[in-house]
Formats: sequence, structure tokens, C-alpha cells
Amino acid sequence: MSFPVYRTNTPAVVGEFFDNEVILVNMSMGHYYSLRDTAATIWQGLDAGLSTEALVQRLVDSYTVEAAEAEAAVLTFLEQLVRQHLVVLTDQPLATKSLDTPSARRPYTHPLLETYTDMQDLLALDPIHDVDPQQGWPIQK
Amino acid sequence: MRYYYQLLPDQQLLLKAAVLPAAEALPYWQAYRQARGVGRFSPTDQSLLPRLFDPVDWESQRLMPLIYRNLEPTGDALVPHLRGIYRYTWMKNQRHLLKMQQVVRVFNEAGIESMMLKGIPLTLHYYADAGVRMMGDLDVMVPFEQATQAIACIQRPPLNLRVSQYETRHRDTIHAMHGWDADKIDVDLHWHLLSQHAYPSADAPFWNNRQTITLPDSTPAYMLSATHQLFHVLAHGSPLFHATTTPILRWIPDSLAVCRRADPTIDWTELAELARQYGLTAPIQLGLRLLTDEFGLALPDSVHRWLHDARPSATEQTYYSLLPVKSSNMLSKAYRYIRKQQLAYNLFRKGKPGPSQIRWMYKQARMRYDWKNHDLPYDV
Repeated sequence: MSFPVYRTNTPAVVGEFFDNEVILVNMSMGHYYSLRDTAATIWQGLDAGLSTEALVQRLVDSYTVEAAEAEAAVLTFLEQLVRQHLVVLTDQPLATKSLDTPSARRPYTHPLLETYTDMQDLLALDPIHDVDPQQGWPIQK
Repeated sequence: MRYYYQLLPDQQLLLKAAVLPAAEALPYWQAYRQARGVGRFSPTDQSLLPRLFDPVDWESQRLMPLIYRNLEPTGDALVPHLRGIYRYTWMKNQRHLLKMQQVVRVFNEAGIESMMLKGIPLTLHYYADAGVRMMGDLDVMVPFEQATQAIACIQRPPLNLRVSQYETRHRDTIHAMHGWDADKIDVDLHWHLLSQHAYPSADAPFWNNRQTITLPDSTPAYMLSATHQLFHVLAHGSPLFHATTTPILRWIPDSLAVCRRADPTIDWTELAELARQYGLTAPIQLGLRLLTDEFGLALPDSVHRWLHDARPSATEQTYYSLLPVKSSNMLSKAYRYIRKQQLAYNLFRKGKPGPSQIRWMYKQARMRYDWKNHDLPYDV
């Protein structure tokens, strides 16, 4: 069975990778998203043009997770991304960017899409005095 | 006469933590941590971020996202706590980028040429990272001949920017005006690059050598050439022009970002010649000296010779030596003001198209007098 193929919804959605996190913004909706660990790995794969099958395999190669669980997690996560218009279905062949080979399998956590829906409120939050000292903006104290 | 500028100790530490290669930068960050009493810290301490940010000026605070990115690979325990300010900067800049795309698109459709200045091209092309440089506003330049059309255009849908009556009244004296939208995003519309050179034809070299750039939404746009970008960053941020106000620091990482990204394409001979032509030899030399002495910027031998041998003109020397002088005595204040304006005219405007010296000085004084009744929603 082959799965639908998705691509990142650029240029409507823009993102930045850093450390073990991806931040995304969908300007037309005014939503901000944070993706960490497995979620960041899946996004990185989508950004590189990986097929759904390849995303599952990358998760298995990178984390201590079995293929069946990884497949279910990827499909559920993709559904969430579609609902937020962060990815769209495509029938075009995807250009693939090269990705680093995972060096060792890390502990698996379920992929989460952290969603912040009011950009104006978020930006009104003082990023020094009103935020959690560990997580920082946009996590409020 | 040689000009030097002394950074404050905290500014030095933060700038070096932000711009030097990570391994060299780390000791400066650790020294800053010690100075702020966070050599050791509890990660859940609610006062952690205020202790890092509050003691320093706004310009130093603006360096924190760049410090985060620069020191991210070092494993320093405090650096991940700066991630929030990086996210915040990135998010704000995305809004700015979206607005800039709209402005350029509208100008393109209206047949108005435009060139992006400062934050957006620096972020997109030179830093190549939307989260490291905080932007307070957007800057876009149009040809002087199309300024009237552009001012009308930004006030119409879809941009609907508000502009100030004060700046509209003094339009022929200034080089740019502010426009702001309902979300308070400030779009500065320039019809000249430099405030000192607000006259027709002042910007011909910059337009002639502009460089293309494609915005993330595929909108075609223009920015200054690398040489002119460096010239603008050094001139605009020069401590000589900010001697009596809070010093601008962002010109330092900006200049280094331009030099690192565009090093082989910078025409140093042209930079020196522009500095002479535009009466900006002292600011440009001061900037380059600071970058080499404090931040290890490598310059060709010819530039070192220029820094050593070329002296600013006598008018430049007198003008720049007067800029930091303040006086509480009304009479001497008035005298210094008139003297500075005379020198500014001789340095920047003499022989250029535009009003006579007396008329030009009157317009400057009138604008200064009217400032107390300005209708801008912020101080500039």
C-alpha cells in the first residue's frame, strides 16, 4: 500500500530549524507552531521532500520505535499538519535535499504539534519578564 | 585627526560573544555571565532572563538572538535560555517580511521602482537567518522622481499606511518618512539613502549598482550592492552621528555579516571614494578601524593604507569634532547649532542641486522648531 505524498505549504508557511526544534508560522492564519524531537524530524523530512514511507523509515532509523508505531504516528501527525494547512497533498515528484544520516537511535517521544493561535497576543508577551525562564517565549510564566 | 570609539565593557563582551567564531566568543559570554552574577544559576530562577537583559541598554539586548545562534553549538548551559528571544525575533521578523513582500509587490504593480534597505536584505541575504537580527521597522527606497507617487501609493489600499503631517510638511528637507499600518508595523519610505544627502541625483550610484534578490514569496526585488550595503551600514550606524544619543551597536554585526558573506565582491576602492565624495571619510574609517581592532576583520593591505594615510578634509574634521559637543548655555548652543549647519551645508550640500545655503539652513531650523508639535506615534 502506498501513502499519499505531502509537501510543505510554502511560501504560505515559513519555518526555521534550530537545535532540536522547528518553528513554523502560517501568516494567513496568524498561527505559530513549535515542533520538537520526532515532530521536528518529520518536518525536516517533509522539507527535504521525503515520501511518507521515507518519513516512517527515518523515524525508525532515528528513534527507538518500531515500524508499525512509527507509521501510525507519522500518519496521525500528517493529518494534524494538513488540518493546519502546514502541508498539502501533492502528485508532483518531490525534489529531495540530502539529510544527515542518524548517528544513533534516540529515545522516542510521540510527535506533537504545539500550536499558538493568536499572533498579536503572542507578540504582546514580554519575552524577558513574562515568560518561563527555561522554555522562554512563547511559554508564559 | 583620527577618530576612535570606546565601547562600554558590557557592550564589548556581548558583541564579541555575538560575532566572533564560537570557540573564541565563548569566554566573552562567560565573562558576561560572571558580571551578571549568573556564572552558576538555577534553570527555574524566575529572575534569570531579567538579570541577563535588564542591566544593559536596548542595543545590547538586541544582540541576544545572535549570541544564541552563535553559541548554540558550544553547549554553554545558559545559552538555551536565550532560545525564546530568538523565537520572538524570528516571529516578529516574519511579520516584517510579509509586510515588505506586500510593499514591494504593490510598488512593482504600480510601476514604482524600489530597493529594500537595512533589516530585510541584511536578514535574508547576509545573515540568512530570520531570527538573529531584531528589526524595529522596514525600510524601502524609491527613486526621488517617484517619491510623490510612492507616498500616495502607500496611503491607498491595500497598504493603507498612515503618514504624519509633520513629515509631509517637511518632505523636501528630509530623506525618508514613516508610514505605519493598523498593526503598528512601521514602513519607512526613503527617497534618498542618506539623511545628509537629500537632493536629486544623490543616489545615482546606488541605483546604478543595485542587486536583485527574490523574496520568499517569489516577488522580485532589489537591494544595495555589497559595497554600498557596507557603506550604508557603516555611515548610518557611525558613533560619530550618535555621540549624544544611545549609541547604535547593530552596525557592528551587520558590517561583519556583509564582509563575511560578500568579501570578494566588495570594491574597497569605490568604498573609499564614496566616503570622500559624500563627506563620510571619518565615519567610514572609524567603523573599519573598530572592526579590525576589536573584532578581527581582515582587510586588504590597500584598505589599511587608506585607513593610515587618508585624512578627512578640514571641513569634515571640524564638523565631526563639533557633533558630540553639548552646551547648556543658550547663546553658545545657538552658535554651535548655526556653525554645525554651516559646516553640514559645506560638507554635504555645497554644489549640489537644491536651495541656497540660507534657505537650506532656514528649512532645517524650521523643521527642528516644528518638531515639538509633531504627530508621529513614536519618537524617531
